[in-house]
Amino acid sequence: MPSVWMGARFTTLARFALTAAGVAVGVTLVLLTLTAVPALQGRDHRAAWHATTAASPATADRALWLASDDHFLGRDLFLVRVAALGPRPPVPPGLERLPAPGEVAVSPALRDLLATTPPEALAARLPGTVTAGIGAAGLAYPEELVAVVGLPPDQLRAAGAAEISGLATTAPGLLVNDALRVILTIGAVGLLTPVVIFIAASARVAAARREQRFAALRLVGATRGQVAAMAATETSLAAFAGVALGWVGYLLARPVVAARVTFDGAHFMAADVRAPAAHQLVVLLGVPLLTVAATVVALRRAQVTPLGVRQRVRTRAPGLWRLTPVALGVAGLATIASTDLANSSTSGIATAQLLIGGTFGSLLLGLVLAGPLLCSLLARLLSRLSRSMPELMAARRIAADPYTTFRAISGVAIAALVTTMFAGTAAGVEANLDRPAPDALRADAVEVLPGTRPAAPLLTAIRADPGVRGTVVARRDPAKPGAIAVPCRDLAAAVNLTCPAPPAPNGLVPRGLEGITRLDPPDERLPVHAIYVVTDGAPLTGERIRSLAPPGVRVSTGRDIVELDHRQLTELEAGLRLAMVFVLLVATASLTVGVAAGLVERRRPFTLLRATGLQLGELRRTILLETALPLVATAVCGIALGLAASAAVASSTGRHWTGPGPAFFLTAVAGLIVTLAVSSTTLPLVKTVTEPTSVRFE
Amino acid sequence: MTTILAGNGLRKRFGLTEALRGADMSVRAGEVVAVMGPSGSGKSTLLHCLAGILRPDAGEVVFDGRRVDRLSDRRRTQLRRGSFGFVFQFGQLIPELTAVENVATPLLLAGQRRRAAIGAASVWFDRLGLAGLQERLPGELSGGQAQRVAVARALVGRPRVLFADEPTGALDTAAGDDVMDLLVASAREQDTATVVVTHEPRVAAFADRTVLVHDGLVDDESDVDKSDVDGGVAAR
Repeated sequence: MPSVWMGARFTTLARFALTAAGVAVGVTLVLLTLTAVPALQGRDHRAAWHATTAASPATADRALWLASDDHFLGRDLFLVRVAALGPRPPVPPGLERLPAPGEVAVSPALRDLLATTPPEALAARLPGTVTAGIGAAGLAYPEELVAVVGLPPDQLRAAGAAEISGLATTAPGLLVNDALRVILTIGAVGLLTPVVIFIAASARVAAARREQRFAALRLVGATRGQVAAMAATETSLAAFAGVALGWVGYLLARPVVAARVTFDGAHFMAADVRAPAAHQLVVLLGVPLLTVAATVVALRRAQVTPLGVRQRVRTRAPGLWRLTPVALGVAGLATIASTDLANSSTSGIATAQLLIGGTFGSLLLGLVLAGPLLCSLLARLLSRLSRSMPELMAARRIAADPYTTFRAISGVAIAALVTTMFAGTAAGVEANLDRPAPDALRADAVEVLPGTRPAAPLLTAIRADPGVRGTVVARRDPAKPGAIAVPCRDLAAAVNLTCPAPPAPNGLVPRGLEGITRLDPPDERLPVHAIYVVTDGAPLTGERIRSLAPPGVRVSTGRDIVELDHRQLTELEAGLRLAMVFVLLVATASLTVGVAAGLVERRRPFTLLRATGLQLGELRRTILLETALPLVATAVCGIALGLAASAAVASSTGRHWTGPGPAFFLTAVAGLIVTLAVSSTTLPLVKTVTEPTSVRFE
Repeated sequence: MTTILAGNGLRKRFGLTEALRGADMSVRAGEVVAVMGPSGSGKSTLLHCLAGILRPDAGEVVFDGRRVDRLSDRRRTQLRRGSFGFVFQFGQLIPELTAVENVATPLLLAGQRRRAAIGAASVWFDRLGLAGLQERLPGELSGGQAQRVAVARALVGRPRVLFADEPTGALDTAAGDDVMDLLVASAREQDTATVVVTHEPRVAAFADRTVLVHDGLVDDESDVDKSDVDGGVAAR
């Protein structure tokens, strides 16, 4: 029996290879997506000791602990000053002992940075000699900048250090939260969907021939269930081969992901990039089940009877109800555009975020649901306008099954929507980054908040730096909340504001101006609240000023904020670009397989048509038209929705919407051309498969 | 009647199998010729060579004074499109096109406007007893109806020669007779020469004369008595 339905024909092998490849890609991707949460949790867990406070559970002798979140040229630098108060003080992970006064332990990345940076810009913050390195156990990520500085207890007490007798061991859970889980789930589904479509398309390769085989089996007594079981078994073999390949792919990709993928500007520890065993098991069993389900559903649609496969009849035309989610999405966009997010309260922002999420979800779902309707309308239009046989045949083919037509190109449509939406938003963000925000610290300025420390010596040291062009001292009367004493014109040298207006009450304000609504005339008798330093703009000048600050003094540079925004934007861009390339590749593969399957399926009528005088060029034009028209139409719709979405978001955040540049549209056109070119590789098959000389088939 | 199509000394080999071994056959304008023979005798190959679908390895095919076997693939395609009509055993209709669009296919391919082509195609539905089925898809037609649509498609362009390869092979006796009746009557009506390949004497009975093919050779090109044909085929 098995030899009857498992003949190693080329088509069977092709289907086996395509299904196995689809499953392999799917398994690798899902497993890698599942590593995201453990990788972030691992990073979170490794950094747990950073959150040590006096309240951390006691595990050892007492020690003094003064931690600060410092920065160096936009990179985070965790700096902790310590002093042991007993023979067995708590020791941070990655260290063998607590550094003694005058000793410094640094992470490998910080050690490298120290070797290449002028000492006054960085080493000055680490008084002492580097005597030890911090191992991986104490690092959140490989390139983390961490320093544990040993100081005399008296000096630390004076600086306000906390007395601890144990380190924090519980991860603060800042990285992994419900929102992230939702984003990762959507991402995994988004990546897996085109793979499932590809697998389903692969299962349809030479379906007619296979279904005839199954019909023959039904004629000799096989039940519908037995035929389904045979199809499932046939697919299972490919699926399990794919699972094995996919798992190997996952193992090989793990170190690559750890080395190449960044989150918040940092790579991951290789050991953290690992999907939990239970999740791996679910995927390794679940993906083949999904594949088998796709095959059985595809077979059920063919309705194999003992007398053969029931011939094509009319499919129900897609109804207008399919436009509902798109309409809801467009209404949502209009609402978003009219919302003033920049001046919303916290609850207002939360509501707006829900609205934005719901709107984007509606648009994506709407595009998928409305796609077949669009194809159907397109087919009607083409049919009405058709002047030649290829146009009519293409129109009728699309109209005959707009669902299958759209399924093959849905990945491209979704990629078009998401890419455009992101490109439009990113272009706006980048344009706004280049323009100074009305209330932000200037990029060449530094803000120093002395707190309770004496400001005079610090001010003297700052003014002595060769890169400092000027200083503005803002003073504050503790009895007058919401007001600082500083001339607006002076402050405007370091902070982007229009005089005589006071600092804007909302938006990206420097820390020293938070909550300030009034500028009073200068008064030398008041204590110093903030020092604003105007520098020569050289990156290291800001770092030198930071190095001058004693523990407890907070220093921020305008560059920190700009760097952070750019870093997050660049990461988002890179991540989305990678995802889009993948989705496009898989969608292109699905489209190619779909075109080939459609050709093989219509081999007989096409061959007979060629025998009766249809030119090869006309046949190729038919196939190209029925592929290209829906592809271009749905991609254009996706791009239009993406543009509208990015414009709505820009409008709600008060930013000027510029739209993606010509480079984006050129890339989009190039992407479509490449997709069509790849699927056109099946065109030579038209000649071979429909050769009139092979007019006798069986 | 003048000879419109002739094949002389036709030879055709597929790998080790010699399908035609010097076959001769001619068709006169407006006549209906049945080509009979057992399975594998070479009758379909003979039809394909005469129709310009296959190029013979040796011999000549002459249509209306032109050497078909010397034409390029493109020219032969144009010839098939403009001067010949075809009916095959099954599966020749485009599944996504309606019945009337399938019939109009040759006219559309010839560059006729759609409205005119559909109008001309619709006429055939009444003539072939297909009234009301114009908008049906091939999958919604019975076997006999689908073959009649195929006959209409073959004849709508008023071809000079109609080639039918086992046109009733997939039909029951009644439906087969029905299709042959319509095919022959319509061909005669527009003076179209018809070559029907069949292995059924009942189908051959519709022809003016019958040609027997055996082992790649045409045994006899003269009129064959029906009883002789029955006996001959039965004897083989």
